[in-house]
Amino acid sequence: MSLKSQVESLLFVSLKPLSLKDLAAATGAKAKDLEEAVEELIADYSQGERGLAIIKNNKQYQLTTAADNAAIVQEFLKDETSGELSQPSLEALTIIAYRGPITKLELERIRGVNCSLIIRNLLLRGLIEEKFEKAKDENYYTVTHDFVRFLGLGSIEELPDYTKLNSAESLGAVLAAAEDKN
Amino acid sequence: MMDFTTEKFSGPLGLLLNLIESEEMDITEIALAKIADEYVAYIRANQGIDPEELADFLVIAAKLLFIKSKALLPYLYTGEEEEEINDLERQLRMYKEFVAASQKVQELVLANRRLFLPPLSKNRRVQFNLPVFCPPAKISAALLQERFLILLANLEKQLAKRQEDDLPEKTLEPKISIDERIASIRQMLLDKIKVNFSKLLAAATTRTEVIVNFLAILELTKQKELFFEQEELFSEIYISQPAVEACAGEEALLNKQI
Repeated sequence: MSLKSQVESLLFVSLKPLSLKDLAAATGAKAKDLEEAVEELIADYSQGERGLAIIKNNKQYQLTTAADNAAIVQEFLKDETSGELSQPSLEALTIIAYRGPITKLELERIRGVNCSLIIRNLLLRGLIEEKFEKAKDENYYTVTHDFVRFLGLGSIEELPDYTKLNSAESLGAVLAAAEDKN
Repeated sequence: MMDFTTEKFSGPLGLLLNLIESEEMDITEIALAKIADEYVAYIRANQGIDPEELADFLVIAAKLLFIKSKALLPYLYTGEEEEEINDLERQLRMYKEFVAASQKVQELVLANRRLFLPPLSKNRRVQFNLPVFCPPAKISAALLQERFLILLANLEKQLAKRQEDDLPEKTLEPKISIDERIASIRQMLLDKIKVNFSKLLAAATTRTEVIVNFLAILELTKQKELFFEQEELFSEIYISQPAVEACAGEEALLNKQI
């Protein structure tokens, strides 16, 4: 069988998002070939009329149901979790989505207000995750697969105006200026 | 002033953006200077501000007042502060972009295009080292309550034991604040026309009180509420209230300035 089909099977049985490293360990193939295979698979799913989709976040892949079927699947699973977020949480989440990985300090500089409580809340709801960077001795925050699934995106790069808001230039200028003063 | 109680804003920059947009102004130094008073008034009214976030609101208020003072008295500024003002403008513009983005994110959420995963059975969870809830078979609400009561009883015993060990006692000396002192000096001047400066300080029993007295007098002097008289060098200083007309004139002048 082709590498593509092997990847598809593995994604189907895995409950956790799989990284290229995980896939390499399972198939014995090279990461580069695997990446090609996954990308092809993603294209396959997005072209045909398929009930499944593959999402990508933090360099990990996951097989999910398709966005168009959200309503019937939700009904079938009797899933009642609502998507309600307070305005401050939504703002913080948006900034983390567009600018992640981001530190608490950077987030607070953009919002101009302390964000400890909001971060804790978002972590508890599984919408963001925290990763400690040893080299920089700081925690970095990114959005989770759950968040990407929640919005029905293939990856966060599909967010509106992602390239513009993600570009290092606009934020970098403000942060650099703030850095100088401190 | 506009009423924002129904409007939702989040955080100090959110409030600032709301004020500027409600006036249909762009984010410029002039707009920031114009909005300063309204911003401060809003914080004063303190509607819907989380006490924990108050400090962050005050930081922005201070920056706005700084910008306003520069707009009013431009000759006092050397141009070095330009960078700081630009920073606030830039920060606000960036914040605005993310607020707009967050509205788009909200639209995505509301569109409900969520992607689902197969529901997980307990066995599958174990297989993938995911957290599994496996309570002991015999557990019940009544059992939990019973255990909790035992724990509470133990805790009370511990606390009682701790109270038996005598804690050292110390009486705190009565403290006097500058505000109190200012009030009492004002009262003194209402009762008497002239007050002897050395007597005012002599009433103080501790060194701290002397200092507080002195600070209170300095503060009142700064507020232009005191008038000093001394006939010759090193003679007694008398304190009185300034003449009424002078005082009223001063106040009018102050009001004008504000």
